[in-house]
Amino acid sequence: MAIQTILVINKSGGLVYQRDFIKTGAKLSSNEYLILAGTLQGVVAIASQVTPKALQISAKTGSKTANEPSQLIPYVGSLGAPAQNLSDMGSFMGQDFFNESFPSWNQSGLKHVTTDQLSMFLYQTLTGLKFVAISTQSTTNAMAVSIAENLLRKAYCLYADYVMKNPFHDPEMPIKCELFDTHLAELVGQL
Amino acid sequence: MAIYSFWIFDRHLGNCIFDREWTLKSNQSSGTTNSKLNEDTAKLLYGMVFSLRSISQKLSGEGSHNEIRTISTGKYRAHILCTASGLWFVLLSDLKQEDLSHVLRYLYSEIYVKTVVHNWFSPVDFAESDSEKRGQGFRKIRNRNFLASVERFLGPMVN
Amino acid sequence: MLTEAWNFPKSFTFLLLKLQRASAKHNNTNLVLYRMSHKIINPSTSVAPANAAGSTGYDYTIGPQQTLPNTSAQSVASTLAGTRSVYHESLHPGAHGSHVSVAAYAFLFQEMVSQARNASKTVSEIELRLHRHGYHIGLRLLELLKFRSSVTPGSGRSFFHKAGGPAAATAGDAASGAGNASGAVGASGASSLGNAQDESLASNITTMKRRDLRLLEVLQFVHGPVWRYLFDRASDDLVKSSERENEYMIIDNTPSITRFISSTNVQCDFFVCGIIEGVLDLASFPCTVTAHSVPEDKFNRRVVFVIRFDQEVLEREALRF
Repeated sequence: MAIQTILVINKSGGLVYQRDFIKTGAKLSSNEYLILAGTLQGVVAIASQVTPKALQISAKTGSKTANEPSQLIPYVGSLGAPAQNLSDMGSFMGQDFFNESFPSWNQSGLKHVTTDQLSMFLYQTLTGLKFVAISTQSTTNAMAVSIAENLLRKAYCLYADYVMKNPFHDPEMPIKCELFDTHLAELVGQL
Repeated sequence: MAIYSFWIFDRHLGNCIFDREWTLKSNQSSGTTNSKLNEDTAKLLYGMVFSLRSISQKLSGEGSHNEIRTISTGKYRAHILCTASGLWFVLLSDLKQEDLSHVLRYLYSEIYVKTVVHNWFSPVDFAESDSEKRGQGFRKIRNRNFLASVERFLGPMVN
Repeated sequence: MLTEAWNFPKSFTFLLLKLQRASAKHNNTNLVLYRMSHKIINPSTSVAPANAAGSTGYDYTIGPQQTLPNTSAQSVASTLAGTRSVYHESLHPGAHGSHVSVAAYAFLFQEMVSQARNASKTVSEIELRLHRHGYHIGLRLLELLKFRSSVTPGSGRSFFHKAGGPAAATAGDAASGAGNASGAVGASGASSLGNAQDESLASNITTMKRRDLRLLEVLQFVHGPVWRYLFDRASDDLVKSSERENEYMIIDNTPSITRFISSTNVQCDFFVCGIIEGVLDLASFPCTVTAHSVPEDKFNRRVVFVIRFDQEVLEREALRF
């Protein structure tokens, strides 16, 4: 699974970060990426509206237990080589940013799209920030999905460290942080 | 195996020509067929597929064809088949179903083609005038053979 | 992921003090920041709140105490006495109060830089402001570290426990003094601090630590104890310039406070420059300190602090005494 592009969309649907890791035939203009980000923002909201009635009914009658465990995303270890130096890990101490299963904050919104050539994964944070990864492989495999979730969660950790703690970054504005760039490239490169 | 609903959209931008939604997992005959109440949901579903389809086509670049296959959320997964004639077959299932494209292909080639296309008394284009295009259409597939075949084929998958 | 404890310095308290002073005009923010600091620092420590109800929260001989301020200590201690929640557990097994959350530190420093940025028109003005913040920390730091290294760890404990007379307080080695003093006292869980605080610690010190007179001594002091106090490790190198007689360089391969800041044309390490200059200035080694980013193959954020002593320092150094 090779990651082609990573996007970060802020809570109002604006594209704040876009980076290609593989050169592909399709070169979207920055304007097209902006439209893409806005479209995704809308689709996320629509997707939860379309939830089938059968699920709405079963959620109401309280048979929630069947759904709960599946909302925990398993931790995928050794996603990329462990950091040589612990201080490289930013504010987290230990081998990895996190090391246990985590609940998904994106309960009913859009998560994953596959097409003939690509798949697109979406990770949403509690604050409404969205991380989007476009992979060059079309798969609905549950393993691939959880790998992608782990990857994007790590990207979020990097964002928390190198973007939010940078005094020269303005919130909600496009991200221009060299350290975020290099660490993200490292993370994707190790995949 | 659990499927929640099945939809067919025709080529006139958002006309839903068939919908079937099962509301109870335990009961194959529960739910609605070609219901007025589902009109809004159909439009939302159409909008979602339309948007993502345009994104995927943009991403694939010039010349190559990149059709959308599945859309997943935290609760359900939509499987999509787009035919050359501009029809969309959409099937909503639970997340355990990784790929139902074979089911959609069967629905198209064995059921839709045989009971609607080969049927001289059934219209192929469900919008009879311009005013019924662009999501304004109200005519649905009411062909008895089609309805029965869909029930027979999809019913066992409901639970 | 944001609140992980990390081996990080106590200079936090100083930074906080600075920020408070800087925002003295805006009384409200000042207050909020201070309150917040307690909320941020307290949870990541391991001292039982029930015992610490009487202490003031900061003991100048050993550093920050992990207690709540007096006003709220009573109520909080009583409500929490029976139930030890996750907030009383140290996130770091060896924390013992000498570490603060790197995330909290980073956010505080970020706010400081933003403040300097908003108030300045040019890049050099931002750096000057950061430098000035650091300078005042440096002044205090020299006093504090010298004082703490005069109190030997053993005497500190016996004093707090009121066990007999003061231990033979030999002037502790400066290098071990700063780190160990706080470590040992903190580890013993300063439980009886409250009732012992009215006595003067001064009676316990037999020999006060001498201030450094030679240039190399004071540079070693910066390179070792000061760096250990601030960043929990000695600096990576201390070099004398081959070109100029009055130039010395302290090298930090992985600067901690600017670790999350993408390199811009603003050099945020000027804050540390200010600290160094403050320490050296108060020790009567007037100088100017500047920071330069000099990446090396493995350390792409390596920073060199260039210390240029005034001419009088060299003249004095040439004298024999």
